[in-house]
Amino acid sequence: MTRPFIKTRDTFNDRAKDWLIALIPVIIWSVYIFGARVLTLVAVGGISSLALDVLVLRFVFKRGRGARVDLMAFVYGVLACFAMPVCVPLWMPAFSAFFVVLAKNLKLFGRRIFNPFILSAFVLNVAFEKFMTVFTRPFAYFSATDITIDERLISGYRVISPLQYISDGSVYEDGTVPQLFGFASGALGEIAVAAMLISLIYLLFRKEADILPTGASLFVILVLSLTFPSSDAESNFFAYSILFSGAVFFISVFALNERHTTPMTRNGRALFGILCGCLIFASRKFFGGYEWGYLIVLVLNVISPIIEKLTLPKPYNALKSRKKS
Amino acid sequence: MVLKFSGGVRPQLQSKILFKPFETTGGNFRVGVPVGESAKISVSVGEHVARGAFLAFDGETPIYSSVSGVFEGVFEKDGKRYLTVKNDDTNDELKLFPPETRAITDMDGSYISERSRELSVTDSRSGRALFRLIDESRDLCETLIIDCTDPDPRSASVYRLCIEKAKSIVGGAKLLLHAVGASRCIFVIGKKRRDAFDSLLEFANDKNLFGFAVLEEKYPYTDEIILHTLFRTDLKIGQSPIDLGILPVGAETVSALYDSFLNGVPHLDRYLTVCDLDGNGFNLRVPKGVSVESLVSGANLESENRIIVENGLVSGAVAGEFISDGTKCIISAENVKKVTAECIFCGKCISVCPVGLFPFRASVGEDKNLKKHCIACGCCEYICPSGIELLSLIGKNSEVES
Repeated sequence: MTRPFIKTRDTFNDRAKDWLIALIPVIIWSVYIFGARVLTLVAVGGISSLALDVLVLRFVFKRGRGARVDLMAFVYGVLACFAMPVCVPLWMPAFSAFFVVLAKNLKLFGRRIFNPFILSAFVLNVAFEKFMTVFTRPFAYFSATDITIDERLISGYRVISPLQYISDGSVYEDGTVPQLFGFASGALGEIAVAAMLISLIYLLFRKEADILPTGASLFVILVLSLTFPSSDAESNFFAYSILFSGAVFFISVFALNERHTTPMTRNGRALFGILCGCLIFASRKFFGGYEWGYLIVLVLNVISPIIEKLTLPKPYNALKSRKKS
Repeated sequence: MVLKFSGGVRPQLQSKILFKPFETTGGNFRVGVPVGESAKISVSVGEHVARGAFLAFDGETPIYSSVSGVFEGVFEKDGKRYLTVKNDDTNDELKLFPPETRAITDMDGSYISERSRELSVTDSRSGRALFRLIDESRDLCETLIIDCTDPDPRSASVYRLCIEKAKSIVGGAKLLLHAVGASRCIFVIGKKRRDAFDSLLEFANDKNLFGFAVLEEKYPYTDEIILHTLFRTDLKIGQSPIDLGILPVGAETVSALYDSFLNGVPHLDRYLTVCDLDGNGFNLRVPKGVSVESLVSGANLESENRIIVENGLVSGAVAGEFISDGTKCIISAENVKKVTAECIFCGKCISVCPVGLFPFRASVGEDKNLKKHCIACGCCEYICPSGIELLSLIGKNSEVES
């Protein structure tokens, strides 16, 4: 036996527990806004991802019975649900689990290629646009157990989301409060910016998140949207609409802190955040669709090992001595 | 002000024996002093030797018996040779040298070096003979660092030494400063043990000569960490602190130097902690080369499936048959292997690496240069929540074992 003769008692699942705790404020607020159906969706997404991941590890990767359950699969399953509107059919979170588990276990040279919940959100947005872009009014509670919601019922409560305003060449002008607290329409985990900020603070406190990529991305989007506003809107309303709508906060808080698919170097993380912010702003200004934000993250995921390699600092013992004594 | 540094692991517990004074050991234990193939032995097997009696010459270094007892000859284990003496507990002591009465200023560096060679003073930090360190650093060294840190949060021997033998430490530091021609001496200690400075400050009150540095409580305190924190200077690969004009030595070294000069008795005793994984144990003054087994059994720390580790659980090594000149603590730890999982890219290994490496890259086979820069402190493997054997992957485990 060689050093170290003692190891920390932390396990890899402690990290998943931190993430689960961080997601609680978002889930609670989403239940308040959209009702108990949120819990059903999140439970279906989380449990099906976890179960599928266990099966994949057992039968595809031939891990023995002693292999531990990776709770991060549950976390990714829940995060994948955050990108869905509340009125999606209950089979959709279960379906998303396939993409979550696929991305979680798809590795190249030991590294995960795509962010699991972002890949899932992207695929669902492209394949099921009909379900994924239908948003309903807050406090319109739907049944928690119905597999599908009657289309006539949905159409009665259907509203336009802030991002859909931007896509239509307009901006959401009801101020920042509805967007901060989720009273504007949107996907169940993405609408309440305030709840996501609480999650971010917890993740920062537990050192699971880094302010660099999140801060860089949000700052770049804010600066660019103030500098290049939409022609028919006040620049501040345009900036708020871009910053608080769609998946901008969701991506900045959760996707940019998924360590497998982002660079591990500090400069690399900052660069990743800046690139992400620039590209998201460009996509919002020129295209507007939901899937663009997710696609940008997936593309950056692929190049993240290159960013990391370019920004790898020199070890201390390879630096020039700065001072003799 | 507490000096902060990157790297190192924060202790999850504190020593429970900080306030236990040093105790001495007795009994019919054996002591073993490592010697080379060419050692010239001056006593015959079965002969009775007193404590302080001359046993052999190993190259330039004389070897003395640290106990009174019967010389048992050469004992070989794992390719190492030891001269062994069985203690008879009579404590007969032989004084070969007169006490030093001259003032420090009346001695020159070569005299102090020669005298420390005769008195067989060794550095408790590196285990090397002190006279070699003096000769290598004389007129090159500008700053002397007295390392008053313990190698593990469970250990308290260096802390107790600072409390109980502050005068010897400061006196020895003055001798060594004079010997190497350094102009400044800095005492380094961890944040939670800074009260040891109060004892040292009583004697080290010359502000032009002595400085104090309190480092945040993280382990291990390697040369790299101390130099980077104090001077913002980094040791390049293959460089030693002396190349930068800095000589780091242990607090016990200077204490032993002072006591040996003052009493005319060779360096025969060691100060160390013997404890278990929870930090329960004793601070002991023991003869040099005492058998590890006798220390562990004497402290009632024997149990099944245990491993005896010297100098810290993170950066230490498996203890040999006898304590070495660099041993500062002995820990009896449970031999448990952590279940290994895949890297989760948590980044904890990066945050604890004292030289700013990205050890996780070894687990995905990305960095072939890690071995070149790694100092094998073990922090990354200690902190890894997935239990990945990073030192093996980096290729440093064989060096640790050797």
